[in-house]
Amino acid sequence: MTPEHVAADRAAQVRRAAAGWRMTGLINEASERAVRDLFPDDRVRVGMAFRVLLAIFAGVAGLAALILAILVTDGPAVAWVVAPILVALTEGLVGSGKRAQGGIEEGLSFAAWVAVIVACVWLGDKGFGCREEALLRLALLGAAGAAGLAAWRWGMPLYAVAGAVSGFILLGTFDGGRWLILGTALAFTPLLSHGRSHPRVAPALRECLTAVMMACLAAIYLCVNYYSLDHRWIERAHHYQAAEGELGLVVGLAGVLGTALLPLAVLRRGIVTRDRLLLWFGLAGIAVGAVTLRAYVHLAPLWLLLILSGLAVFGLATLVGRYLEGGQDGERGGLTARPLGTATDLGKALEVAGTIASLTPAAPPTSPSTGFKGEGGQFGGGGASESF
Amino acid sequence: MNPEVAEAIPTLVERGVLRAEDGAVQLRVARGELLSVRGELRALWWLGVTLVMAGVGVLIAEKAQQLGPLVITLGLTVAAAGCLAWVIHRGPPFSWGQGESEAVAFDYVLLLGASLLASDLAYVEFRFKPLGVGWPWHLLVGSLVMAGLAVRYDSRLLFSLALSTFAAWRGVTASTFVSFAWFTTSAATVRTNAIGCGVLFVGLGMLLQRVNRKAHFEPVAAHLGWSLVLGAMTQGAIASSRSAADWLPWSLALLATAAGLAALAWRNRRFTLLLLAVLALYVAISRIVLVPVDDEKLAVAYFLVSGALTVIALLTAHRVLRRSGDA
Repeated sequence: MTPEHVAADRAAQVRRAAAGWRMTGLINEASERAVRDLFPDDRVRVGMAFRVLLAIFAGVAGLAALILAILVTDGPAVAWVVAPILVALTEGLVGSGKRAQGGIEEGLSFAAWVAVIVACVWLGDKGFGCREEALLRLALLGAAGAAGLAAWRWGMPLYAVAGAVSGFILLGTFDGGRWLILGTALAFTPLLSHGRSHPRVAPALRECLTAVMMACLAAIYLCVNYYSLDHRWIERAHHYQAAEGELGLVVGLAGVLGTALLPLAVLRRGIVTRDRLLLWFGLAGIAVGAVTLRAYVHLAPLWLLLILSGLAVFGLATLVGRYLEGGQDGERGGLTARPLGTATDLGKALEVAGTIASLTPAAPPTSPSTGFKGEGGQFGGGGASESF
Repeated sequence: MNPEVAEAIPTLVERGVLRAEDGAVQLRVARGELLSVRGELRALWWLGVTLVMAGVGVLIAEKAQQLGPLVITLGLTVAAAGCLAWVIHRGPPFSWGQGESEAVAFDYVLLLGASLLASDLAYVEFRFKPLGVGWPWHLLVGSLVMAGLAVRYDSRLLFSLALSTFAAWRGVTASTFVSFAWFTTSAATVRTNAIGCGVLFVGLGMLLQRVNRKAHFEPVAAHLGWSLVLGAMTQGAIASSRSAADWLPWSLALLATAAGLAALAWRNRRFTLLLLAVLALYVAISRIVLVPVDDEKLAVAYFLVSGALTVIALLTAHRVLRRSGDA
């Protein structure tokens, strides 16, 4: 990232915070305008809807250019030409075009990333004569390297995730892949944790480090989860036949402890450090841990388990909310249930979408000639259809 | 943690942009000393409701014979009544405007109560068949009850469920919406119903806004309504029939509707609706243009040219927005 890009990125952080304050009524329109004047941003940015549209159509055009070039030249070698062109276009848009979070550069860079992977596969196949596993490793190496460079150069968190995931899959293709993944993720997590809150690191790069840390935490949990160990998920992805036999006592015990304790430890760390990422990871990990437990131990019938866990989750949230509200100024240990000027519409939209998807009753069957007919119902939440 | 914002806040307070007391709170937020977990609590409440309702569904499916209809009906009634009694007791006074209950969990207890009540209605209908062959009508009743509760207690969440339950009454749900169109005989009926529901929801949203009664419910109605209309038309347009008589009318209808919505969304600066409209427009045009194309190179070239042209059109539109200060 260029120094100008970083400076604009820092100003954009303040402008974004001001937009949140405006949305929750902390400041008015004039104050938000004053913030914009105080923290000028020379980047061309677009709203979310335009960003999504521009990214989709730039990506479509970029990928079509790659495919067309392959069809016209009758081979994927041309990806070595297309990839640099797409990279140069992205670089031009981010550099002299001064675009940031503008959609087009994101769509084109995605096409460039795909072109690099295609080029690596071609090189492995035709250049080095690689077959199957070696070819896969080369493609993953290309994907991880290109994504890492894209994240570092353009500050796009999506590539940070793509790079980390490609890297972990690459490690998983080697013997002892699980331990390689675990060791790498454990080694990187403290560094990433430090970097993602360091003031000297550019905001966009901090987001990239956060994205990689998320991937590392997920990789650690995947490695130590009992179900993943028992079913040799990582080993089976490499050598299907190699995944036989019982789990050793030590490994099994470590899996049980890891499944149960890791999410709790992460949640505790999230509460102590007031880190939202760790809070979410801890909560998600506890949910996965509960599902893992259910897979091995028949505690109670499914319906009872679902109702009890639902009531427990509901009760826990209520208790935590009341506990926080009961503290001085409605906070305890730096945590509060009050809104703090960081509201977004996205959360509410996701909530509405989730409610419609999960609680809407099943529809009755229809017939073109006679309209509705049916007997009985089915519970899909709040309604019924044809059978119980 | 946000070091840039932490550094900026003293300046903003000094210049009077931010009040000192708000500045102090925001400074703690930016330094990572204070964190609002409101979003996390809302997610947990929502998850709790979803798990309970899933459990109720499994319970009735697996244990209906064992427990007997009376126990199930009574159980659901008592649970729903308990939730709704709490809601009535704690609910804020009615207002046609936007309000918020003091209890943060309020929305979710209301959602749980309404969902349990709807399940109760469905079970009674299934078991005792008071409506006979007209059994789907209980969905309409459930939808209207939910809508009434949503308006009374100002819950957009419940309002969205009321609309989707209404659509379910007409045979349209998220799951059937994905799978209905392809080759089933009822596809045309469901598609027509989806469009009918969509138009009704959009109209309802417009009415709410016009009479300024619960006008903040309008985005839910408009987005759900337009998604139903465009989704149903898209299903008709991309149905894999070789006969132009099947897909062409739908493609043309999609083209006209999406163009109309794009114009409307542009005029009102509603960009999420514009997003839906542009995507639908592209699907309609691509369907019509690509049919006579047999050559794969030509087809790929179409995506290259159309993608680039759309990017140029969007950039031009965005430039106009920036000039008018609406970007």
